[in-house]
Amino acid sequence: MLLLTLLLVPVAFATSIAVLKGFGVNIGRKAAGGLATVVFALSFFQVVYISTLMTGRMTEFYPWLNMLNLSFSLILDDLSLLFAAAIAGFSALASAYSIIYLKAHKHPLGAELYFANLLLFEVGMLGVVLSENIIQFLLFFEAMNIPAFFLAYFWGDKGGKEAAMKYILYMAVGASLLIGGITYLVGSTGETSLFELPARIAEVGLNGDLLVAGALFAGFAIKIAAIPFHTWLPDFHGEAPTPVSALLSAVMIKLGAYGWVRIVFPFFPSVIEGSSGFLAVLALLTIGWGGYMALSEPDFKRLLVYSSISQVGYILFGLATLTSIGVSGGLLHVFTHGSAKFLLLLVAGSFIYSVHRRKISELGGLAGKLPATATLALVGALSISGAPPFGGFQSEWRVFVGGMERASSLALYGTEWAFWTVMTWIGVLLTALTAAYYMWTVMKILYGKMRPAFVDASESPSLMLVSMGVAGFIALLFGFAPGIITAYTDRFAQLMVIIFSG
Amino acid sequence: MYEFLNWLVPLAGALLTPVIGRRRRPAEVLALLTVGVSAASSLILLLNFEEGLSTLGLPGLTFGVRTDALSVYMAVIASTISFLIALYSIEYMAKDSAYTRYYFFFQLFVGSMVALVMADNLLQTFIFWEMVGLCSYALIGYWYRKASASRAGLKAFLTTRLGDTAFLTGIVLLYANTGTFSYEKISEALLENPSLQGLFLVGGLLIFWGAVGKSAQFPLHVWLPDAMEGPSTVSALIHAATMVKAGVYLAARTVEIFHVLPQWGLYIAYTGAFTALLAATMATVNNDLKRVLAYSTISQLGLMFAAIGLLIEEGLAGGTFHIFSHAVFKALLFLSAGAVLHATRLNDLRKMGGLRRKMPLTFAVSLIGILALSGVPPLNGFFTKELIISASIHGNLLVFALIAVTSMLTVFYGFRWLALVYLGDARSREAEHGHDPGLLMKIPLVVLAVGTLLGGVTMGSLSSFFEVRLEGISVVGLLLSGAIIGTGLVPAYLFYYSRTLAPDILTRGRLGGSIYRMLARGYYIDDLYLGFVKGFIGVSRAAYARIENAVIDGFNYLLALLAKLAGGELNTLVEHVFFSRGTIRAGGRAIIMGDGAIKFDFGVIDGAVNGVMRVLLGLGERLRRVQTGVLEQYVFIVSVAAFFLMSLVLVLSFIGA
Repeated sequence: MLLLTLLLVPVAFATSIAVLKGFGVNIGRKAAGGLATVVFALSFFQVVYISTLMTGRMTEFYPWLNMLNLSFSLILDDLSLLFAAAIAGFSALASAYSIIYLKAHKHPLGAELYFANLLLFEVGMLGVVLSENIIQFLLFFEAMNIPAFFLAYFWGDKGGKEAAMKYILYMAVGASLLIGGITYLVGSTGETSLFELPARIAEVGLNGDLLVAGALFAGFAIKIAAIPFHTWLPDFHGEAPTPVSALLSAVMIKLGAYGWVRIVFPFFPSVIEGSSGFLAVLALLTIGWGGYMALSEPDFKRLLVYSSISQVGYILFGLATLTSIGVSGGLLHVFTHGSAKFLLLLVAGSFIYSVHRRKISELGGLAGKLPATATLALVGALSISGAPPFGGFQSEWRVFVGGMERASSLALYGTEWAFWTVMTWIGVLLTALTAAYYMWTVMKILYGKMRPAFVDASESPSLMLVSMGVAGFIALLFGFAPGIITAYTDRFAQLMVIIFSG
Repeated sequence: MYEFLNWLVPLAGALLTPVIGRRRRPAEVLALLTVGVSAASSLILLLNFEEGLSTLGLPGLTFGVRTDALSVYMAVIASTISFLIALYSIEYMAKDSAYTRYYFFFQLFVGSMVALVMADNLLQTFIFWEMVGLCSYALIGYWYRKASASRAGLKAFLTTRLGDTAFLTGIVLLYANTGTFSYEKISEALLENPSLQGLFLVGGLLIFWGAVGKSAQFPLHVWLPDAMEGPSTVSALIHAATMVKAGVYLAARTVEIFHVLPQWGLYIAYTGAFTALLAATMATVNNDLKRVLAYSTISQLGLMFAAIGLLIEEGLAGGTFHIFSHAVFKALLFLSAGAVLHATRLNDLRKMGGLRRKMPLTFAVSLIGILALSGVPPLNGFFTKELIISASIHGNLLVFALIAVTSMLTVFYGFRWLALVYLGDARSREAEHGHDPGLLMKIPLVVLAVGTLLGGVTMGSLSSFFEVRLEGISVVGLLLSGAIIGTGLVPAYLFYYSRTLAPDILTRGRLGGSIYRMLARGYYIDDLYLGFVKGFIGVSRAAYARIENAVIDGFNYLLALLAKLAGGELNTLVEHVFFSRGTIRAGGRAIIMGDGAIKFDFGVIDGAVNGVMRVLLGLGERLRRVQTGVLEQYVFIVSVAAFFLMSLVLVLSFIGA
């Protein structure tokens, strides 16, 4: 029941809030927000508690579609444990932050429904990482788009409606690719368990199927917003309510990476091995193009989103190396980047809240008025730029060691050796681009003369500061104790790499 | 224990500063105390020297520390000089209100620098190396409301970062091939497996590039002169005790690994010697009180690299010992400059003059500093520079020639600086207000001056500490030094002391004028980089507007436009388009008809895209229609697009296989 309650409790609360609302009972912004925050926080501690009980993996099966011989099956292993903790934890912070943020972003539907949607959104994401069978995985993967759509459509900024439409269309395309691939796999193997499928796929000889592998890879690539499937992201994250954007960047898009390592990589090892060079190029293109566009983005919030696109490239690069340290580093980057980007988006939200502006050219000299927020902005920016002692550095160097180890496993001074060496070097070089656009932006927003319009600006309210402070602490914590994450990712990566080394 | 105290205590002090440093006095005392503990424990290590490795295990985190001659020596320099600067800071920063931030980064700076030199492996060195960079960023841009200061901080951070990317690549390359970050084990791996020499050469050069950035060597030297935007104490910290010395330390440390690769040493020696000359020429014409000293630092660091790169014992000793001499006399010079700045608020040498009478003590210590910089016996600079010159004669004559010319120029710009600041009559009202600083600032000045005067005494014990055997100074060497000093001193004397020659005699002509302008602009290197950066950003802006928003994002909308047309809704579309923008119709038709290849104007596409977007996802009633009507078509079309991209993936992966 431990896993099932993770999903059921938020659903129950979301439903109750909606039903009450239907009967005209408004419990109010603070009550709904507080309730949601508590639910998320309890889920987080429940996940932590489960991790202490867990040996290997934990599974739960419930009767579901008997006709199809399909049960509702939940699993928690090394990988999904980390994702589940991140989803619940960041949701709690985002929800606490929203209580204040919504004061300035009202909608006739009322704040209660916002929190109901937030609860459902968390369930959608949790369901993805807790699913043991692929059909259920797909259902949750698509279901989470619905609350996300509503959150942006109703509570988003000016362009929220248009961006939400764009989002749902892109996701529909991704879904069509995933549905096509998955139904084909299930149809030809008669197996639905994510953990049985790799062996069955190899048995029926589909493990080298380029088309299916490509469809699934692209389906997840749309979610993670790899180049050139990325243009929905700046629009959607830019216009969604800021705490939701933070959640989207920190965890939701990373579920695409989860799909890669859970499905695409183990299902089609030979395809992945053959195309790992291509994946590395795609990764660097994503890093480079995302960063290069961030350099020109005039809107602070959208800049952060372009940076997310760019950073996702490091995850892919780490995975593409197919070395245990690279894969582990790539997965670590999910969390180090997640914490820092979450923090930065909340900082952007605080600026919107305090001075009602998001254009970089309209901000300036804020360090004097919002010193704590400014310090946190610097923490986030430095962490993503890969500067020690923050978390970003810990994941990035592992990713690059992965690239060089891949090179050193090949014939010395050969073409492929040169390819991986140069790719890694470009990857490291691109961290300077990240530092450039972040520090440049930080300078323009925080330093220099304060604008006269901000004379009355005041520091963010304390609840917002607490949410940001916790995120900043996590970003710093990962820098000193990456072992919290790598204890799990190392184990997972070693198991995964075995598939590739034969 | 002391090998941990000397860096952990300042780091802990930094963490404590925001807590107990809310008021000024506790913050100052805390900084003095922690940096003092660091200096004391470094000195204890020096006196009870014992080589060894030790580790400190925290949960999930292990620090490896190496105590050997080099690390202890560097730790002593960094911590003791920093202690004097901390003492000086109390008076110098007395009127500044952001002291919490100042002392936080000050202690973090010192702690990271000492940790950097004590680290027993490359990764740990790199971590603290980056933290040193972060502190310099924060301290250079300390007065963040001043646009030039925050820009200088950014420039320092990004320029050194560029070098650091090479450094990290080098580390990662060596780690992937040896499986260790440890200096000792990496050098063993190279000796065991000589076939890795080519790889190690690449790795070694990449690592050296980290030092190029940090120690402001050509071509990454441009950040250091701008770094003068920070408080003078910070300049002293950066130039004497921390930061730039880290690069020289790294080169000296990695000699242990790469000494078997002569090409590696040659590259370092040439970079150093060339940079030394380049920076010295720039220092001769600069008119900024602190920038002259900054160019001088770049030049002196170049000399150290040149000596280390020779890969002979004498050179290694010369380069390493010069770190010490330079740290003492350059801290002295910067703190004197700080005293001048503190009293007169002047930066421009042309407005100074006559301060000798107003600030006798400052003048006296500055004179000592300049004499040491010029290599006049028996000051500390003489001994170490003598070692460098003699090593270069034995090692590489081209390097020797560059060093000799640099040394002449050093004497010239040193005495020019001294004359412009202190001699003659005051050239502005502010310069008349000069006065010697108070006691807290005087103590460090005097201590450093005494250190400069008597530093030569330590040379014997230094060489036995490093276990190097050095020949005594020969008569030839003395004569050579005399000749160098004389060649530099004579023109300086004629131009700025006796004034028999007007300084602009050389710059009046056309050729002289253009050379002067070139030197004053730093060989236009800064302008070149700025142009590159501007171009890079400009192209990014263009790509953002014309590719990202027009082509990639517009691609889908364009397809939707075609779908609309094919779907028989031409009339509606034309109607909407007609009302929204006249040009769209022409542009859209041109694209659809295929004859638009020549007129392929992105602006039109952009307009068309926006127009279509407005049509498809417009407000009010139209939206509802879109949601039901066009959706499937839209999805279908985007799927087709995704299919094309996937095919591309497949084709490319076939090529790859």
